[in-house]
Amino acid sequence: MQKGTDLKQIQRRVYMSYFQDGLWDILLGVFLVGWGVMIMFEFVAVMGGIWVAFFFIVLGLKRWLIYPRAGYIKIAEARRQQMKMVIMGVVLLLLGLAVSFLFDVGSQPAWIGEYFMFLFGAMMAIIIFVLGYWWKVDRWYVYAGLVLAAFAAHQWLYAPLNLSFIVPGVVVILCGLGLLLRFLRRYPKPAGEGPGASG
Amino acid sequence: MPAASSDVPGKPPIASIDRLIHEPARYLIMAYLFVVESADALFLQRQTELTWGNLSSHLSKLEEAGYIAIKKEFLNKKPHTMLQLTDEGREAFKGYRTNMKQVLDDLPQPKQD
Repeated sequence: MQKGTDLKQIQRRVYMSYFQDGLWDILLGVFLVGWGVMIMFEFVAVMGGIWVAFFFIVLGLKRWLIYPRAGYIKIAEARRQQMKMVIMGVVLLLLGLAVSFLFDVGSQPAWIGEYFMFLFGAMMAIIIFVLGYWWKVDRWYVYAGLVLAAFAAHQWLYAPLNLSFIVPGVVVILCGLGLLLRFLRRYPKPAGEGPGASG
Repeated sequence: MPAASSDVPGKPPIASIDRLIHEPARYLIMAYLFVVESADALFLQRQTELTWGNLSSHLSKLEEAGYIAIKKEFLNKKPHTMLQLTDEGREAFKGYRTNMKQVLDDLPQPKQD
């Protein structure tokens, strides 16, 4: 037993345990790569379907792959409600972003039109940053920085738009896969039942 | 029965330290259960890095004291045992922290060389 006893650190470790397997990182990466693919091939409906399907795949993997290895917790009701609010806010923001991206933005002030893609990327980066802050997962700040840098490259270095999504997306997926492999190595499925673990 | 009451009127804070919670492994178990609604034994074992035998023994003591409760739930359509702090356990843990802070605050400052 080597863990510290600071209650805030313990709370942080509990929340971090949700993200140590890298599955949410992979989901974010798929989301970003999906945007790039959608721009390349205009697969709007297909990509929407893939995102939803992947979300449920992640939930399934959590249930069948992660919990039997890491154990299961129920977080406190107040925190759960706050999480729901944040997730709803993020979904609404993403919907707003998608609508602004897919529909005409010509009626906006000229500077918005000129820097639209960078502003779009900045908003996406802010959402990722806020999620990282809320979930106390520091690496998501790096992801936010990557997204911002990729959109800056598109805005000022004229890099292809689809790569502004795909490059950070692939990096995030690779990080997520690395975390998942590390998790699976660190937490093999227990051979026997623990005291009261199941049954 | 708890080893010592967490808040005994008239006693100095150091005499009111709950010895059941004062044991580091049990403090850690209580602390993890304090920040969540409930958790299973595997989660506690992974987080505390206690052996199954140790964990089981500490859980039994905490359950005997009425600080934790064991409840059966269904997870993936299978029965699953979850552990939860009781109201008494939650109060005892808060009391323990308050008493410990008081005791530490009351200690004289070490002399600076």
